[in-house]
Amino acid sequence: MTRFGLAFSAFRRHRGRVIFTTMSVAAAFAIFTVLAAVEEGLNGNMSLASAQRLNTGTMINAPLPVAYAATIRTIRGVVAVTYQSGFDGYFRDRKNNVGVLAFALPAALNVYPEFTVPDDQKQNFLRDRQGALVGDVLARKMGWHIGQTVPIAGGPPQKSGSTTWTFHIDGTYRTDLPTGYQEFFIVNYDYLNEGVAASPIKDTVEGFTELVDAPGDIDRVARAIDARFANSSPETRTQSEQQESMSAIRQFGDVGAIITSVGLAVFASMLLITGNTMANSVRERMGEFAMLRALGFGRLQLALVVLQESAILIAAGAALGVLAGWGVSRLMAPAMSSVLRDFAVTWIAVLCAAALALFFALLTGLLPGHRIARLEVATGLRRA
Amino acid sequence: MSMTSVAQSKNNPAPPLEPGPVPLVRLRGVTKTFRRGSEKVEVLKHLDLDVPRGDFLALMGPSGSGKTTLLNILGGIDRPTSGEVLIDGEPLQRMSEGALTRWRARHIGFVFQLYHLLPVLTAEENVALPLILTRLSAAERKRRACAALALVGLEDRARHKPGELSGGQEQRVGIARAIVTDPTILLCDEPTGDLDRKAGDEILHLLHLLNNEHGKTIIMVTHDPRAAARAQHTLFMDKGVLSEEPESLT
Repeated sequence: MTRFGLAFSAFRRHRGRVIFTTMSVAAAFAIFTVLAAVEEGLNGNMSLASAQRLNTGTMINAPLPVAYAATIRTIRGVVAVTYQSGFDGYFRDRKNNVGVLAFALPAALNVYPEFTVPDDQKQNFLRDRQGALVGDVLARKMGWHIGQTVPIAGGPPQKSGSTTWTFHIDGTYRTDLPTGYQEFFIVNYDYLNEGVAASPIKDTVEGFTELVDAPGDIDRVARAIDARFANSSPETRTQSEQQESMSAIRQFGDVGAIITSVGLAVFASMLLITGNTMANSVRERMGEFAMLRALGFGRLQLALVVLQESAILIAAGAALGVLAGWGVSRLMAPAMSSVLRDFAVTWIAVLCAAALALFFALLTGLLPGHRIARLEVATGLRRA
Repeated sequence: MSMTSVAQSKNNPAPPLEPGPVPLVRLRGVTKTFRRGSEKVEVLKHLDLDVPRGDFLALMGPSGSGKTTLLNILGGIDRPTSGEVLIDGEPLQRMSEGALTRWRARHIGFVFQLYHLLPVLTAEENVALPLILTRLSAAERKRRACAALALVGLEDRARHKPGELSGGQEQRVGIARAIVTDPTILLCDEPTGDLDRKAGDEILHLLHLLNNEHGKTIIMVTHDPRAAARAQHTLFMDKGVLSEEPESLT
């Protein structure tokens, strides 16, 4: 029998109560762990945003004339401009979604250096107006290979009336961006724009992306672009990619705040449940603690035994919870990685959980420990 | 001065501390007062007591007479309001609480009426509880706990929990726990009070054995005249006053 064994022996009684209390602690820590993984993902997204890219769109999400590109190129500080359009099509079966992204070439490959393409494939793609660069993940998923001609249905009507567009796969790209970015089907804007039937979308784009000469110049360039189109229809709204990421994070942040509130509520209930368990457990054993004092255990020694009990209870729950949270995060990772590349449980999160567990152990053990420290032996023995 | 347990009353005042063999327990002018609301209740009234080493003293008296309070003071779990308590020459009233706790662990073995065993621990683990406070190795603690259990005749019940033992066996585990550290004094508070006659006799026999063959000094509070008869001496307590004769209290 050791002091730790004495503390641990408290869990041999009321096993149901111990199990339920441990589960409540585990639930709180599981939520904390998943939340930490989401936060890691959000922070990761922020770090992916380029400090030198601007995105120009409209306040009302309306298409912009492609002619704006020529004006934007003349603004001081703009190094390259690309624009994009596209459609959500499918390959053979509607279940095989393909996000077709039509870029102005070759500028797009300079503006987005994150997409890495073997040089020979890049050259083929730039020479072939009907060519396509496919994310390696999408290529694997669809079973495509370089040189293959693929029909993508579900596009805008062509002059012939067909909505199926045919492309040649000239290459595949790789990127470290979230998996959502690994499944694009990049094509030449000019090919799409020339082939599309006369319609309001002809000669329009969904937005422009500008590469700016220096990160410090990015706000001035953004203001200059919007000022240039201040009296045009439609007017533009230019934001840095980092600002956009921040806005996206804020949207997530609202969700995060809800999850955080839920997490706090769970932690608060966990504290109440654990505190109550500890208080009851100690109250029931006042006679036993009085006996131990009579045997020669000091006030501090018994208070430490109670603190150890509290620490064991919370540590077990926290360990189970972090393990469960890690497991859930692993299960969620494939789905989450399309929007949050860095979604994962980190060692920092585990260390934070350990620190929280220590804090909660102190919090729930202090009051009962204090009560034991104040116990008068003769009184305790009389009440037993 | 006689080396048997002696209580002094106001009419028979204690002799001054004198050279010669010092009794193991010496009380002089011990008073204990409790407050009950605005009322002061004097539970022990100017007690003087000498108990020599190796004695087996029974303390008898009606409920509320102050027997358990006296036992608690002797065991260092309560302090007198005034007076002097010397155990083996050490003045308890001058010790800090920490020192008193450490002293208790070394010198006192308690045997309680309701055994006070931890229900989730085995007999051996219960007996080993006081040894947690020592620097002994785990193996030595186990060896001593087993030896104590063997002494009370329960070596074959070492792995049993209190719920699996009879009342008499539980009390024997309680006694093993009290003697496992080889204390100077055993303080027994109604050790047979919760037992039937046969089990009570076994416990008294065991206490007698510990006193007679192992030289343990035992002070036992009891209501039971049969239990008191097994002691070497009996003192009577009523309304906080000790006497050698029950009739002198009236």
